[in-house]
Amino acid sequence: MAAGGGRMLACCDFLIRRACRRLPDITREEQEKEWVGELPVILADQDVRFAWMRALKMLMFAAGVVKVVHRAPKVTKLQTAQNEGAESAARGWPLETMDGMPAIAAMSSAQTEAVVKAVASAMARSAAAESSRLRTQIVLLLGTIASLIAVTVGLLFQHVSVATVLAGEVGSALAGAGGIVVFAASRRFVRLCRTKRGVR
Amino acid sequence: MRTTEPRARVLEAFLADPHARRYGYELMKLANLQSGTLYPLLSRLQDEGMVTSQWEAPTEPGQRPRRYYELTGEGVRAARLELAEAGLAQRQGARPQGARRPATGGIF
Repeated sequence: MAAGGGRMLACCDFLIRRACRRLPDITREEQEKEWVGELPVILADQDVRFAWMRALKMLMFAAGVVKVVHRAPKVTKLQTAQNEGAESAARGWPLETMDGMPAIAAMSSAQTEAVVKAVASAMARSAAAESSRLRTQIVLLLGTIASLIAVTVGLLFQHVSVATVLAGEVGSALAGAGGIVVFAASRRFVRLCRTKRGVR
Repeated sequence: MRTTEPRARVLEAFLADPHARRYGYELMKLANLQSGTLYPLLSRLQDEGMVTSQWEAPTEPGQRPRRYYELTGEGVRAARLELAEAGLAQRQGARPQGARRPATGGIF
């Protein structure tokens, strides 16, 4: 197996295992085992000629599984907390032992989601209000960095659902597009005013 | 129950060899379905008792255990019936509109 394939396998493994945490205890282990078991088969499928296509198929498979899990009835918050408590201890994220991190780790899922949403909406507002090229670029850059930090913290501590992450990313993209549109429109407006006044 | 297109495809994939055991990815390829569609369908078929599943232990080191699905005896019968009914319903639906209506008589 190529190194790229191995990395993609690990990535898909992670996606599936993470998604399966939403499932009830009774079905979680079995479903996870089944879906994770299919990944090497897809990666070794000789009917698909190119390795990158097999990797893509595997990613699509994982994405489909995430979709299935998100459609399934969600486990209660208490169950999720119990699952996460047991699994984060086994997972041993290095960040959880760092000073200051327990405060972030202690944030409830609602708080973390609120932070991500606030970042996305703040970005949308600031980008829409900006008209200067430099300021727009700075806002977009800062917004992207803030969004990435929020999403990383959320993912590391397992409080943010994939839907929220996607919503945050879509929000960032829309904010970026909105900023560019506003900037282009304002420049056009200034040029029009100058033309009317005869200024070249 | 209404037989949807994906359900019909999964049943056809199973009926290609009714006694063969098939794993998820194999069914995905045979039925040309995505995992997001296939697995809920398989779960429903299991709930209805048409399909059973068994785990196969890995035979080689590094291999992962896999779950195989198989039609039950009753499932084979029910799947054939369901597909036949779906085919019949499709043929009836495809019949030209005029052919189903009796002639209404003359102009006046």
